[in-house]
Amino acid sequence: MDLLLRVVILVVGLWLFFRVLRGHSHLYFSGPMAYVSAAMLLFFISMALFAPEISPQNPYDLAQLNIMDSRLAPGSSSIDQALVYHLGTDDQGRDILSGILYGLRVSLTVSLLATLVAMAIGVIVGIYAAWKGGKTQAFLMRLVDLQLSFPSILVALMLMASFGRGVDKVVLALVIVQWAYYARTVRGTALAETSKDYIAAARCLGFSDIRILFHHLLPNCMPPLLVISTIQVANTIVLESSLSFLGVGVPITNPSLGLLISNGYGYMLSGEYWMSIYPGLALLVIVASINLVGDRLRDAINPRLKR
Amino acid sequence: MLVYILRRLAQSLFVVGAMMVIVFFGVYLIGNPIDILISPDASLQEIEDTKIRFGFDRPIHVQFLQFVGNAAQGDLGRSFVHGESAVKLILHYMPATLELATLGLVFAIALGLPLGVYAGYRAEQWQGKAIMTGTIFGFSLPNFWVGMLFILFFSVYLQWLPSTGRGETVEILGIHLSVFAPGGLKYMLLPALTLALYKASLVARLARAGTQEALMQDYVKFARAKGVSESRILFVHVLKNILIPIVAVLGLELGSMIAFAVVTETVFAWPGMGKLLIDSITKLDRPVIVAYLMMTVLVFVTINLVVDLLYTWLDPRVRLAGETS
Repeated sequence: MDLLLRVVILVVGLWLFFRVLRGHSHLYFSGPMAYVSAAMLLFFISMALFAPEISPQNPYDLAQLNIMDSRLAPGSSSIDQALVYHLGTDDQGRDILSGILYGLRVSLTVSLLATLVAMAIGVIVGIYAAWKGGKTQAFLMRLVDLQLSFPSILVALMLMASFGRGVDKVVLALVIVQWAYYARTVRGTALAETSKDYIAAARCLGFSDIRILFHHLLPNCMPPLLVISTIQVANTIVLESSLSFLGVGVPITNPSLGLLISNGYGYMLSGEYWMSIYPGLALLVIVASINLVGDRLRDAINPRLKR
Repeated sequence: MLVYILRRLAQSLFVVGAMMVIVFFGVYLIGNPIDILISPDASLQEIEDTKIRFGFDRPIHVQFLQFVGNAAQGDLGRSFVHGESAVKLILHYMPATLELATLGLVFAIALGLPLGVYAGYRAEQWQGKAIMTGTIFGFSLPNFWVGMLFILFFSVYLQWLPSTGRGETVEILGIHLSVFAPGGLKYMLLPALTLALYKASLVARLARAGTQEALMQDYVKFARAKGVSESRILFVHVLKNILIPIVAVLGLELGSMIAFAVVTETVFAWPGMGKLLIDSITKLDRPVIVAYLMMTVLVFVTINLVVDLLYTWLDPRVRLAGETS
């Protein structure tokens, strides 16, 4: 990815955040936890975006790795004294810090991509169901119910068992696992919205169905959807890392945080804790900060929930 | 009521049937089992013989019909790796998972319920808010990561509890269980607690919402006016009223505990059916994967059915709504 593109992604992300919050930011920014979690999230996203610039080493470049440096404790220097491994090294002599930065990228990319695609599919199915009503709606919602009655991890495991490992396959599995949540939510909001006057007015004006659906209905269904998707990204990260931990997720050449933890797990019982603990901490903090931000967002844009 | 039960039963059967199709064709896509069944230097004749022996030479729809026919008789094939009936294998590993999930559920209630009720009671004070933030962490912490931390702290650092495995079991009614074995609980404590943490957060949130609602009711005011102590109001009067919906949700959650046990069992090397599934996936042991999925679907559908029927029995409004739609 080109540097400029990454800056653009960061700016668009920030813009989207404040766009969702428009008119509610005083509700969001109340109390220190709101600032801390938002700052943490921004920090981690920037770290992932600019990993090649920040990280001391490219963990995928085998030429930069030295097997003599394997399993060094945090704070020790490399054998050629060129750099200090602040978080230690793994069994291949890879710098853990660099591994985490690149792993963060994989984890975030996979979950964001899966969430976006699942959201798109869910939105289309949900709106279509709400618009059509009748048998179509009943059928689609039964399908959603059926899928949601099974826990996500089971469905994902089943899919990965038949797909095999691979980044694209993980994304596909996560999309299939998630679309139903969005379909259900969108249908709920869309049903409430279609009975409102502006939709009736648009119909009276003779606009086409497509125009009403995407130009009038969809924008009004978006805010609750974006809040759900925030929390859903966190769930997806956890799910992806669980799959990778179990060895049915991303391939070894493209390790996510979950796979890093799994790789270091074998050494933990012998006291070499750093290989798993630091990636695990990164995972914990990013998931917790996404959840905290999402929780706050939901309370802020949904005043009904306010006591 | 009978009509409702029958319709609900038909629905469940349909789900099982649909899952059968999905599972069979999904698993059929996995690799080529011939490659693992015989040595790489086998002759063409040997490969053909093996194909015929396992029925891989027949068209897929014939294989599927055969699969359904056998499944109806409780036969889901023979494990390629263990050479044993897949159903038997699953049933052999199932008690370990079930006892882990059950103990996890008990822990989740024991932890989540008091915390949630208290958080609802002190919703506006810092205690309530702290508990709510705590539940966010409970939701955020990946299962395997909690398990690893527990092992690192309690087994490696403090050396209080065993890190992995199941220890000794006792046989009760032909089923091996650790709960009643001497020292068995020691092995179960960490995995069950790991499994419970997520559900405990869920219970705490449900209990908090219920408590907040219940505290505004007249009977609480009346009890207060009568001079009943606050703790008695909270843990006797309020608790009784919020328990039914929580129990209903938890009934459904037992199924998801079994599914999440896959991760916990892998971390703690707990010999349950979740670990069996992961091992089978890595070894492409198709019949065992299929058997696991079918058994889990069956357990799920049964739990859903029982909870639904119980709920309708307890609350006739649900039944009426179902009949009119």
